[in-house]
Amino acid sequence: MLEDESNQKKLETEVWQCLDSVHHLLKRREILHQTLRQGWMELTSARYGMGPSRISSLLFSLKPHAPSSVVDIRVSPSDSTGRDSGVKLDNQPHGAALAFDLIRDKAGNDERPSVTNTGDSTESDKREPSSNPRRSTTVSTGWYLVYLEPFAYASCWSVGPLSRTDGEEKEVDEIERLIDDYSADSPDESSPAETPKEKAQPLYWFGTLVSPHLRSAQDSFSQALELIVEIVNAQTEVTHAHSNVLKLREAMTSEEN
Amino acid sequence: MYGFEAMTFNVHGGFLEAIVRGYRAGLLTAADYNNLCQCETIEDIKMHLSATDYGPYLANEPSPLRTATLVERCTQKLVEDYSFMLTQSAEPLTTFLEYITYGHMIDNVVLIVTGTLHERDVHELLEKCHPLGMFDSIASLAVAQNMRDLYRLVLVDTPLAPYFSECITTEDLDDMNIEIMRNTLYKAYLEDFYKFCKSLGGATAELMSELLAFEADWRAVNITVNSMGTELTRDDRRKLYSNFGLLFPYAHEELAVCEDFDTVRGVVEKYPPYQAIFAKLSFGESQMLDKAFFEEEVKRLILTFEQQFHFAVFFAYIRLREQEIRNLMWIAECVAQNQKGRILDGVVMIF
Repeated sequence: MLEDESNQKKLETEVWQCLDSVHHLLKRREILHQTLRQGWMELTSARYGMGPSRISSLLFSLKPHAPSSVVDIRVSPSDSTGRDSGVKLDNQPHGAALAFDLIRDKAGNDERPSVTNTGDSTESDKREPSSNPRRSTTVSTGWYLVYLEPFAYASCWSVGPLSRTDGEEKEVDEIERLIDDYSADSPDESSPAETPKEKAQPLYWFGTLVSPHLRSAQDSFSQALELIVEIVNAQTEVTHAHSNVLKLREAMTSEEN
Repeated sequence: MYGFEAMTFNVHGGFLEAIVRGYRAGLLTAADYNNLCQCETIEDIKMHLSATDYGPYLANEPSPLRTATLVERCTQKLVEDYSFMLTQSAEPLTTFLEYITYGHMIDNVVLIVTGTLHERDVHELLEKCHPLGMFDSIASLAVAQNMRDLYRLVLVDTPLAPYFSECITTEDLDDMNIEIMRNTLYKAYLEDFYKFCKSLGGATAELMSELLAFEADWRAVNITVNSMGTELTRDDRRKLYSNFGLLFPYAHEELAVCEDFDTVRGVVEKYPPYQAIFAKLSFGESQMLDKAFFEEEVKRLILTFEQQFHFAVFFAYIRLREQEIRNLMWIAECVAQNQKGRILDGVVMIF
């Protein structure tokens, strides 16, 4: 009896958590929608003032450049305490948790985001100069960095369910597949360690004296990037909360039977 | 005051003045814009435009129609009108009409150079160039590494050559240098056009001086607002202002040191013609500045049609068409983005 009540309470808690997560997710989606609308409107205003030929995708720079933002995907060790260490995925070995953070490369910061490991040194140190450095990254503890294009037009962010890696080939292949999807257009990039790339300044692609509307548009899209990362975290949370609710209900149903 | 244009203008210019007044009658009216603002899709816009001068240019466009395609087809109408007038014109009207296109030529040069700097394909860039600003050797711009090469290899044989005297350096082309080159060329072009119009005398000189002075003043305000928070120094900013206009020279000195929009407002509002523009904007608001200046420009351009026997009507017609195309682009974008509530924020009614 007591056990039933406790399970019932647990189920209620999980349901409330699930509903909170959904509410948080929907709110974030709405804000993202408004932010993107505003960004596109500002872009149109900029094209209205500066002329359509001065703001078009033809002016995007195809030179290799370092991104101004990266998404940091943390795979933290198993932790049953809750949200701080990320969302648990029960299908991952050792109950590894995933969390996504947006890291911006601040002006004047020499530490450019790059695909490196924070754990043991790996084959990346022994790679040939001409090879894509991202290809050979193997990480023993979990900092995987996926590049984001600096401007919303060309975002090619792909995030997949990355497993925690212990040097297993399967996980490295997954990372390489994701990174190859991104770097398909730039096979000739040299190692960032050898030829430091310019930091991307997408606003200057359209000229140095650009309309304030274009700056506002960039701010809006920049804010949208942050919101997207928050939404991914929120979505993962919702999925996890929902699966918890279903599991608890199944457990209670099987006990009753 | 004026010469005896009424006696001699029609000999060479009468036919084309009649043509341009006919073209003017084809500009969209407020009723047309009301219909366009009700459209739900770009296909609806195309349907409404089929009954206007743009009809033949949009008729064969397949669905779905994009905003960029709509703008290209409407520009094609402008280019054909201009080409007809140019081929029928005699001097000095021919030179006057050619002057109108030098601004587009400068934009095209900068587009090619910037695109090449960003490692874009030259053919793609050429497709995006404004047709009014094309010249024969434009594709060769892609090989220039610095401004000296730009001038020596390509621009020496173009009408822009005289404007390059202040730009020639051996510095490599980068984003800042290209922007300074664009504005320096445009400044030289405006001053040259102003001098040419003055030399024509009569109503042309009077009306065009006012229109070009307004453009020079608008450029000065634009450069000031756009350069806030950038690396452009005060001296460099000052050098980009034209040496004529209502704001020259005293307001230019004050604008060169402005660091925020309200200071710019304080400087420019001292001049009565521009008080009305800034009266529409609330304090701190710079977002609607473009539209306010466009509205003032349209008012002045329409007034040129009140007089006869001068060339300013040709300039006014080209500019009014460009404004109309801007309006159509804005309406199409608002419809495409499902933001019809914002349509009136950008449309400048001409009639």
